[in-house]
Amino acid sequence: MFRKILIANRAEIAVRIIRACREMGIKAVAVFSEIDRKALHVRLADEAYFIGPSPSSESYLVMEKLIQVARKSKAEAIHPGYGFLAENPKFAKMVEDEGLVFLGPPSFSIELLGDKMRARKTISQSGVPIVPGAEKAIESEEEAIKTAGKIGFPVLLKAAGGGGGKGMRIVRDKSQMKEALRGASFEAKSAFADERIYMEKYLERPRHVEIQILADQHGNVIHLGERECSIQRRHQKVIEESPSTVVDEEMRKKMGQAAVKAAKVSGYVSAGTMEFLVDENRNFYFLESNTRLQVEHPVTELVTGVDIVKEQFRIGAGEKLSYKQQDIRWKGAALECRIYAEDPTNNFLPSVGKIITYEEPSGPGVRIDSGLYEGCEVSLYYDPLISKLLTWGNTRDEAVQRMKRALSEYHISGIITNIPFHQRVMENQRFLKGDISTHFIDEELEKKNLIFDTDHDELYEIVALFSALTDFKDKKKTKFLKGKKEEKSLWKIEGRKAGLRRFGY
Amino acid sequence: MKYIAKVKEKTFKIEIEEKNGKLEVKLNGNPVSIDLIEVKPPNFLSLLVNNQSFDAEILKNSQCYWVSMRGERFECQLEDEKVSKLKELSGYESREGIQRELKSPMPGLVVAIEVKEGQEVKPGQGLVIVEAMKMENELKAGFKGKVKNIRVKQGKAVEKNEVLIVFE
Repeated sequence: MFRKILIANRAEIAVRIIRACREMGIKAVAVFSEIDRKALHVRLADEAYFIGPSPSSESYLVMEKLIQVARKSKAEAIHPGYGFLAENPKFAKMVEDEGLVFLGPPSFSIELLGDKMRARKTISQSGVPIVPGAEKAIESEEEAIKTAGKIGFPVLLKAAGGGGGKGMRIVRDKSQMKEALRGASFEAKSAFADERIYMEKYLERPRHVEIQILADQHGNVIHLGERECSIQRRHQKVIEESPSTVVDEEMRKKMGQAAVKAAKVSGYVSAGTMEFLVDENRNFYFLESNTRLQVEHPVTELVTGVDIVKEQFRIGAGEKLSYKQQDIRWKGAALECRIYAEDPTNNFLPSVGKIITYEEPSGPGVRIDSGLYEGCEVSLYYDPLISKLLTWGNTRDEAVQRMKRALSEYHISGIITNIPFHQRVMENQRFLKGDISTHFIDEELEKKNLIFDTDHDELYEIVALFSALTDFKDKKKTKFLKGKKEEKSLWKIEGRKAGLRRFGY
Repeated sequence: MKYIAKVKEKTFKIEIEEKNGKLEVKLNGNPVSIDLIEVKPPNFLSLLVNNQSFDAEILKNSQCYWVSMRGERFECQLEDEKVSKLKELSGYESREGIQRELKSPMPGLVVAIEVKEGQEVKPGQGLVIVEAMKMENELKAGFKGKVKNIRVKQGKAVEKNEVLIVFE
């Protein structure tokens, strides 16, 4: 096993990886930008190295600097986390060439799966169903209309080199094709420097279900079941869960086998995810791969008991997987709410600032992966994902009730978060029934659900009391609370009697 | 002291008095027993109202109080009863006649300006796109109005609360 690992990332995911290091007796090396000197991952690491100014393009994304730190600290492996350089084949190659271990798939595998068209081709050849579509890049409007006619409108135009919703267009009939093609290739070119566009059948109300896989260097590949990730906004996942309400044991087995096949045919090693779209008749189609540790990996950890990050370390060190497929058992249900620094009541605008109060929920079945603490800064330089709150329950219902309880205990001030938004989802009838698709949030927002809370008017008088009492207290503050200079304050005497700083009875 | 507190569409009358170091509170004329302590100064409070327990953090901004409790965030407009009465007598209408502006809710970079000076805007119409946290955020009009003056240019970095657009 490694003695020392460099973590080329920051915040909650760096903290998550440091924790795995510590449990295995591995020294963890952190890196930090200017603004991150007091970030939690720096404080928890064994060693930490400064790598440059706050913008990630000058720090976390500069490959040479990370390699230099690896050399200097004598780290034997680099874990890229997610985002930043995690799916950059050039970086993986640099790490390999340096004689270090990249804790992720080999660079050729990232390259193959990162090219959406090559990935579709390779994976469909192995017999895994893919979303119906064209096998090569679109060259002209006429050709596009012809192909669309074959697979049937509506169709989706997608960038071969990209993701995240950029370079994507829905085309409902042939009159829209020309403009959509122009727009998609323009966006694709500017975002990914690759203007190739391909076409897929557009599924109207799909679910997004993904399979977690683990593959070692000895050809063993297993799957850890599915994660339901349909609750998304702007192609960003917001809530994930396992099991999915549409997947039963038989379907899990089929999807799992498909994912294992896809991993094998692409030479995949390490932890990875195969994403599928599931249509309303429960047919599933391969969509794309995520060649990294996923944000939502803890959902799977809670239902399987497998520590995915530690398994990545073992795989990277050349060991065999510690589990065989038949060892994997799923127990209960897990949910993850992504806590974003954004204001759901104000068009989800990001919110930045210093954390004033921070209290985490705890108790049975609760897990938090975060990089937050009181006094830390949430800056505009990085991702607005600040924390992940997970709950586990024997049943989905228990997990949901725990989530509601945990959300109500989670107290973050100084910035605005989407915690109330999650509360609304946990109360939403469609969500509770499992009647969801990737359009869930948009559809519910359209109906004015999820944002505007109407169910809590019993608390309004308490809110009014709190506000009035705060105002009263602040006006009298010098008199009552700064007790040091006012030894004879009645308040202080009362407070001592009660053993607390009390305010009346 | 007497307060008028508004939460959403509901209005509450609250009277608070301090007698012998104890708080005497009336809510809409009815006495309630109050036990208030500071969990974390200044304003993270625990409140027992007739023995019902509530935990909240209260933040004040220029116009209202934000009360965060039980994983929810509530807004409360609070007025001293005297001030409220004075306003009524003088015919003062809140927030009318004040110059209306669009301020940037966060620091960021102006990516695009979607309106021109002199243009009429409707509520919900996109005005300015500001990039922060790697995301483009469209700032929308909250009211009907006419653009008087655009204070920023595309590509400019802006601070939080910086005025972007002034309306007539």
